[in-house]
Amino acid sequence: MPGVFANLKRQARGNSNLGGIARLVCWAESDITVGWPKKSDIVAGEVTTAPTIVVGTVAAEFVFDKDTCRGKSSKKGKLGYQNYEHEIEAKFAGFDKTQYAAVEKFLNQGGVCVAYHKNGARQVFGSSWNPLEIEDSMDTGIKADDGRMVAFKAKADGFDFHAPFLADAVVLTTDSAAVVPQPF
Amino acid sequence: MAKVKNWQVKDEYVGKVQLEDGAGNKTVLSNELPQEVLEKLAQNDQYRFFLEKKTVSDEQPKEN
Repeated sequence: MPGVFANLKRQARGNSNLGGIARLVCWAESDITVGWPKKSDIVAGEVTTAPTIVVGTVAAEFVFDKDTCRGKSSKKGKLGYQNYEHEIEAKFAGFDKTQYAAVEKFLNQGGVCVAYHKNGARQVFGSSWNPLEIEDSMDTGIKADDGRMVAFKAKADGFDFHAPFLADAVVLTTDSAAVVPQPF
Repeated sequence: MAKVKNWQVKDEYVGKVQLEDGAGNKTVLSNELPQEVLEKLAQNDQYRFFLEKKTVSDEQPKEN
């Protein structure tokens, strides 16, 4: 019987294990009216409550390019001072006024994101009490096959938990007109 | 004929708001949803904003 640590195993053979993120939805920190998620909301790695959001709003759908979205959750720091960092990045082809207007909304506004793994699992990055700080850039590229794109990177540290999964029973309100087909 | 008040999705949100869980269950708000579903949604503060109670129909006249 292990002591403090638990056994940690790789996934069983014969199962798919696709990397990358399939879908990303986000709220601005000020869209969420109650601190969410908090450590006390997490049971066995899952957030079991839905965010309380400003009535009449839904999560924004970030439709990124294939193979450009990643979510990371890392623990860092010396023993006795450790904490977790959450990070999301994605890229969006194009560089137009509609995208410009969407990117402008990130100015001095933190975010909370739910990333959908390719097996449909949902994971929460950031929180309304410690929102992801968004760095965005719009790049023209130099030549025709360069990425003329909007790049999105959002991160925050100082969490007392890894980016938690979202329990299946938790219902999110999303923009049905913006959802694109998913692999799950 | 008595007027009937039913829960309806506000016109501006019909087909535009999706409620989804992690098990693949999705509900797009529309007036095609059964009245009992809309009534249940209306009990939730988060969803009531998208709904309104409207007089939508009269009772069918009885046939002679």
